[in-house]
Amino acid sequence: MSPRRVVLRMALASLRFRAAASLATFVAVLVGCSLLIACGGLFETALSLDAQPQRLAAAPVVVTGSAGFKLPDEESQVVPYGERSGIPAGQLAQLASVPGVRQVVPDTTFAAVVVGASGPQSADAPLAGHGWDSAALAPYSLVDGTQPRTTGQVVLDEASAQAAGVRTGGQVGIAVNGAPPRDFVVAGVAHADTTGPALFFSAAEAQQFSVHPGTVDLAGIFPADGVDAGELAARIAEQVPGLNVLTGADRGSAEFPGIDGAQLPLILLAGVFGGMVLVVMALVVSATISLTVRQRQQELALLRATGATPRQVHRMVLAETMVVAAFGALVGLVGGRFIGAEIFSFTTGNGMLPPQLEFQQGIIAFGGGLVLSLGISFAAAWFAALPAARARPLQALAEASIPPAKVNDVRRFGAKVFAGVTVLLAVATLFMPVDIASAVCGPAVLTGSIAVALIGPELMAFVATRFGPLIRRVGGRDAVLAVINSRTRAVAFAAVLTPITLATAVALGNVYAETTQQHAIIGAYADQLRADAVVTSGTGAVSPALADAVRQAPGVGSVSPLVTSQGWIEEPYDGNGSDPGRLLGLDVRDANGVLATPVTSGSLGELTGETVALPEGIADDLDLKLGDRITMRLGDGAQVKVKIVALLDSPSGYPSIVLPAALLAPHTTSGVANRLLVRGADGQDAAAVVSAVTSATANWAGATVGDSDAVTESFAASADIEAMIHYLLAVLAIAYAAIAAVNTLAVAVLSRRREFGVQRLAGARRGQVRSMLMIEGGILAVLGLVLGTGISLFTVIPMALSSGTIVPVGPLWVFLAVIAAVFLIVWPVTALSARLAMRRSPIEAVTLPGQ
Amino acid sequence: MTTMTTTGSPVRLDSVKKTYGRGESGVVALAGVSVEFPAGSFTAVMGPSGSGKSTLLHCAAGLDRPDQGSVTLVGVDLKGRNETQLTELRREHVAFVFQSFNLMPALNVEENITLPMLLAGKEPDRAWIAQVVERVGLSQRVGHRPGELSGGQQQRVAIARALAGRSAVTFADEPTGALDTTTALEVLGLLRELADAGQTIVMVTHDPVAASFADEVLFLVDGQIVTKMAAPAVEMVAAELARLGAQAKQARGRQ
Repeated sequence: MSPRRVVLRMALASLRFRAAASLATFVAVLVGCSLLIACGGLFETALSLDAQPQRLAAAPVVVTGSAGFKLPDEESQVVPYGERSGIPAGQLAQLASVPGVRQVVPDTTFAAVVVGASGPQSADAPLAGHGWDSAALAPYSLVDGTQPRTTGQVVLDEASAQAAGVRTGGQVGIAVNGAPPRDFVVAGVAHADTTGPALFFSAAEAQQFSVHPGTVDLAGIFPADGVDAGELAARIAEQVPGLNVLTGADRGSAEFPGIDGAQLPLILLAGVFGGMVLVVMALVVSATISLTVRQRQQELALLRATGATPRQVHRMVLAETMVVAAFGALVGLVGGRFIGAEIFSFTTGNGMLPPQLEFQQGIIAFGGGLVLSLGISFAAAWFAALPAARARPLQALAEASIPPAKVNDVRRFGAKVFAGVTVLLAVATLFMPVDIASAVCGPAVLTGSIAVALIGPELMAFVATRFGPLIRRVGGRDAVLAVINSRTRAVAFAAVLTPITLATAVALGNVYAETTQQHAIIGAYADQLRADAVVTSGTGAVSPALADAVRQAPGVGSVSPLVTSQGWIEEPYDGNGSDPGRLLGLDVRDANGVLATPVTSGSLGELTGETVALPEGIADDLDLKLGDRITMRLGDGAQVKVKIVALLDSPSGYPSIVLPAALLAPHTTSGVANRLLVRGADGQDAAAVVSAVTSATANWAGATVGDSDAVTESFAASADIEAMIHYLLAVLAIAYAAIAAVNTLAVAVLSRRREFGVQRLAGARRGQVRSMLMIEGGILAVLGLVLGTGISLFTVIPMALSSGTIVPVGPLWVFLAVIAAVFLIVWPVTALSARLAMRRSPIEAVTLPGQ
Repeated sequence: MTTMTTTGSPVRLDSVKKTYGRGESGVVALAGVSVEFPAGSFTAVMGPSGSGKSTLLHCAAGLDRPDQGSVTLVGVDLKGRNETQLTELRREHVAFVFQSFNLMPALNVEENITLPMLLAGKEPDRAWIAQVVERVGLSQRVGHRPGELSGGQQQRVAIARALAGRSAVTFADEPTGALDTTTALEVLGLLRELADAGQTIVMVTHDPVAASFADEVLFLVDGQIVTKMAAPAVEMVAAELARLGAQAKQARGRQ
């Protein structure tokens, strides 16, 4: 038998003597591996962005407008456009002339909603209008009637026809682009294997309804017989540059909005969360190992005395851990499949991601998760097992001595480095644009926790010394031993302290940084706009006629459509890169308009046509002044040259660029505004305005009227989605850290069986030992909470400062819940482990082998 | 490994000094000890608590490093050797029998006996091991773990390990300290057999009965060898210990 195999065999043999510690490592690696595989799934999903097309299923190749903005400063990076980018009509002929193309079927989408007696039928999916030509893309086939040939005819999909209760030859009311419903004759009913409504109009009429004149939204391409779709796609990309050519499951991104935009958030989500899991796993594995190594000093020393070299002892501890970790990771493969699917369905179910996106979890996820889990376990175990190699054979001859609380120089240096990085990250956050600040400051909770983990034993000893008298006063007689233990067993205590600190820091840091940022974003938006009433269309668009109707309501002073989008200033480039600026499309030429931001120079009266009102901060940064012309890149990739007609005060960290609504709206996916902001005339009561607008819009199908809060709500809804992702992450990270805390706590208590036995032989009652342990647990919980809260401040405070709120904002219950959770973990687990540890009689415990 | 002398003393200490702690508070454990343990000898080291007898054993076995002087183990000067080299040297030539904590709790009797060989990557000679186990009277117990053995049986496993490895030297630190009289006699008898078979035995003990099994007894006081007694009888050893104890008491009284 080779020495290596002896070491491995010995490792295996001693596992059963360390069931608790083995279980702790097993669970930590299992859960960690599962979560990593789940992250890997999200990452893989983001890379492939697969979504099976439905309405475009028949076209093997789908072409859309440019995929994204090639950044002027980093040409290799392409940022997807937030809005659908169309194909210039002139390029259709070019597409058709590519060899191997049999047919090019253009498609244009516009807002069209069937309006029945009870209102709009599918207000949540208003973009359902198409020309009949594009029916071939699904393909839709007529089950009844004929195709729409003339103006005033429509073909409905089966579900819509059924819901409206009409048949071929009947009449149906349809609101197109927010106009009042018009009656159309049902020319036929079509069927395809799709979900969602589809209303087909004659080609001529569809062209008339199009809100993106001069472009088509996309084109489906049918290859000639025998031409491979992939080859054809490559040829098209080569011969007609500047377009986005898609095949297979990539085509879904052309059909469903938000697929491309999901990539960056998903990668960030997977990256940030994965990093968090890795840190927790490393800390837990190393904490468990240091705990057991110290508890086994004598055994390891004996092994050394028996002839094992330091390397062999180190290898044995490493082997023990890796055997358990390997089992954990293998079971984690199963868990990862399950958890990944759960997280994904939760995110799509809550609207964080488009539901059509397909969850991908393949070799990258499973292989990566497995390799990362084992790699990080190995690295953590390798370092944590170093003290095992330092076990001196001499120690085998003496009673087990308790190691001193002092950490070695390497650890102290590491702690200083990580503490320094934490401060640097916090300071760096202050100078970051608010939008990306969260990605910068997030890791601060991790580096801070690592610093605490490294210096933990000294910290623990310091607290016990410094606050010992106080704890003794509070805790009474049983606290005396608890305080002494906290000092002398500082190393073991620190192992438990780490996960508690980490869980607290991650929970508080993530949640409060997020709520603070959201508060600032929503506040900035809401503060920028002032409206007494908000009219929301139920048909996907507000038509000029509706705006007129509202304008004529008594007491109404000013009315503006509200269009929101994102875009860049391209010339001179604003450098926003993957985080484009916020664009507001408004009509604020009236003296008393809906824009609340004070104008510092120029006039909003001129904000019409190709003009822009720029926040002063942005203008200063780019050295622009009133009257300058700038080139903007809008959300659909269109370039517009606009003249600066006004500069706006920009007190908040989230300034928006204001464009005329008429200019911005065509460059959004829907092409039209969906909301109207209404201000009352001077001296008008807001409630009176709301009721006046309500009655003025009573005859408009689906239009709803809200009060001024509705402005905030519309932004809050999208902000909530981001917040929810952070909550989800925080909850998972906390749960993981909590499991870790339970593990290490149980191991720490159970490893002291012999000590409790001695104590009881010396006359302590079970209850006294237990209350000693409870006080120790209390010290740990309080210290962990204090440290965790302190670390989280390095994330939250910079976020508050950079977003301009100064004081962190968020629900207090989260903080209280974290406190409650920590005590709910520490005390019951301590009580249970104490019970287990004292199950045997004291004399048995004292003479127990392997202690 | 450097050449080693097959004849002569496998353990040699030359003016070994060892102090624990520094400066005023430093405690002198060995104040210049020079001694040789000839091959095949059974030596007991005795002395009052704090006389440095354990330190002598640790330094001789390479478990602790002297501040001054040199230690030669099976012909190899221990100076300047690192932990791994020392370990390999001990694994090859040295066995230990401690008061307790002799055995790996996770391994059974046979595995514990063959452990040093396995760690060195050698295949144990099964027949020889069986013979050794038979000789220490543990044939019925080879598959048992230390937790299932009595204290005496555990010591016998440790001695079997020394036998099995054909170690040149066995260091024993209070091997009978935790045993009852009958069991202690059995264990001492086995150590005697070991010496008769040619092994060198160095045993630290405070028990005159244990010392009487040795060929020679060294008496240590304040880190120095004060007396040597050959062919010790129990009463003589006890008398000498009593005398040294009284002397020490007197010395303390004068201070």
